[in-house]
Amino acid sequence: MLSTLLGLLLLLQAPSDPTEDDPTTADTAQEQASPRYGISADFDWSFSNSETSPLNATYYGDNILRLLRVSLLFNFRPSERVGLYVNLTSENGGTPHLYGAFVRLAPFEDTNFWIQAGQIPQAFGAFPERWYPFANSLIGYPLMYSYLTSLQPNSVPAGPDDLLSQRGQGLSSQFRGGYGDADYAGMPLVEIFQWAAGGLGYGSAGSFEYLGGVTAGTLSNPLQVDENGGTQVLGRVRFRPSPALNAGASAARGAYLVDLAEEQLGGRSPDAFHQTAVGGDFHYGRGHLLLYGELGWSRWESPHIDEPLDAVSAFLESRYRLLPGVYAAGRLDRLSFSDITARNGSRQPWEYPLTRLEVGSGFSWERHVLLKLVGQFNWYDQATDLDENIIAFQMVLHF
Amino acid sequence: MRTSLLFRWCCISSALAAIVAAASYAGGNQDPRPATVYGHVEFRGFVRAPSYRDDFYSYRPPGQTTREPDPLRAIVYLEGDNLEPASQPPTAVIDQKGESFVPHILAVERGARVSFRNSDDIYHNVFSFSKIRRFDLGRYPKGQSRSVVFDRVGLVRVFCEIHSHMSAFVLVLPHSYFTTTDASGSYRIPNVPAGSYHVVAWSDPFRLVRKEVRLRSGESSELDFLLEQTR
Repeated sequence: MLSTLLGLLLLLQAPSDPTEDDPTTADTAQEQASPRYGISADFDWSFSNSETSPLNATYYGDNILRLLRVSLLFNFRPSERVGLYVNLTSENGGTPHLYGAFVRLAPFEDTNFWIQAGQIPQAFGAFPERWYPFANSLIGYPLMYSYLTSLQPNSVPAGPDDLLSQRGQGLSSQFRGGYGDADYAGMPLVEIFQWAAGGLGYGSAGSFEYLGGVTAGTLSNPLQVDENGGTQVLGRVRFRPSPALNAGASAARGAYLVDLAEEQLGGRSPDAFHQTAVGGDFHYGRGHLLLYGELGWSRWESPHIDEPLDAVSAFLESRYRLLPGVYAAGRLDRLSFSDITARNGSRQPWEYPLTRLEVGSGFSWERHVLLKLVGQFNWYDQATDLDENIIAFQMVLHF
Repeated sequence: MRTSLLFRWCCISSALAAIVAAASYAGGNQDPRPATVYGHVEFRGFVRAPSYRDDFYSYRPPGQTTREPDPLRAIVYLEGDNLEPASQPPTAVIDQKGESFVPHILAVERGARVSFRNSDDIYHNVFSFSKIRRFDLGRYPKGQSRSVVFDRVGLVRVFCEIHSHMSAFVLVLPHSYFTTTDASGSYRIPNVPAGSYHVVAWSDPFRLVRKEVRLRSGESSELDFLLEQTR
């Protein structure tokens, strides 16, 4: 399957416009070439000393730090105001699946307002814009975007003790009376390995950018089809006081449980249980230094637990280019959870809080190639037996 | 006696003058009247807009780049043994405006300093991984410049780290006998010592064309080129 994808890429890299026989001036020829297309490919291969790493699992059950991934990205712009985009990705040699397919269009001629609709990337926070391996200075992802909590969209905990019993088991959590054998893993605060169906409008006005729209599912459970009758509403603003600094704020709210969970809800509808999230982010870049920071808060409503289930995550990341093609990077990351009351009366966080430090370096000798070597260190506050210290290598090809 | 000495001195002087003149004639290139080569470069092919990587993951509205594309230009330069370098190569400028490098191709003499100016409201980050000259200028704002000295002969490809669709070429030559065509495709290289040379025309994305020419002192020679697209 991998070779099929690469073959397709080579085929598509051929020019789509035949060379004309008649000599022509360059200006005329450039005007004729108005419809534009782009084909690009990302290939990344990661290897680490951790074979399964529950702390680095994707929605599809793959280990981010041991992953072979090929992505083909197609875009076609018949005019300056219309674009079509498709992302086809294969992981570990599996059948390519459609990550995203959407249209972008600018309906009004004199404004910088765009509409994007289809199966679209996450629009919450700043990291989803640079989550692909060539833009991610490190190999792992921030905890907010990757840590799988034990909460699932199709299965609900029967009570606080049921939830507490599954702490740290996000990849394979099973609640009493739930559907533990279904195809669902636990949910992160924001899922970036799966994109939702929806539509957004976005634009800019001076130093401000804005975005608002609706999608199926929620941040933690993006859906391609409506599986719960609910709709997520989300919005984002970004302020750029100078070219060096960006500051953003995001908010989203939607129903995260799917219809499959309905019989566990005591007669209530899945769309009555929401995930609500807000976040803030900044980005500073000047000279050879880049700094990123994000803070996110999420609340899930669970039918058999009276208290809200909150999670707060924050990270600070930096990258410094030491030499042409050589950089050092680091990310300090924290994820914590609200306390709930167990049957014995004790107050405990509903998931194990943890801290992650990932440091590493990247090297390029050619602009299409990037090699990374990182060390990732994960410390739980309580469940220290689940701590993981990992060394990982990644090779990225980007065309 | 005095007449004899004067006669001998005249004979020796004449002989030396004849030897110098003969040596000068044998060298063949010492005529002080320079030559000129000029002509026109035409481009053949369908010049596609560059295949580009649109920002797939970003919801940032695209910039309003209303700048008209520059007309295609070619670099025309001489290859030959007796082309002396200039004593101090001038500084050249590549501007960054409308998310493009302007000019897209630039020829400089070895040792020249090229200043990369940012005229956009956004940051750019100029870099090159070329073996001839490897550099990374970091991010800097509108109105500022960073410069690089190119001290090895060859072709250097330049990019912006932030905007992958931006690229430029710096062609570093060992002498100053080069020029860039004007908007109509015409070029002129004056003040060339008489002699035999190769004249080379190149642009991106076109095949390089090399032609032979013998330039006679004080004369102008016309040489036209047709550049065909490489892909």
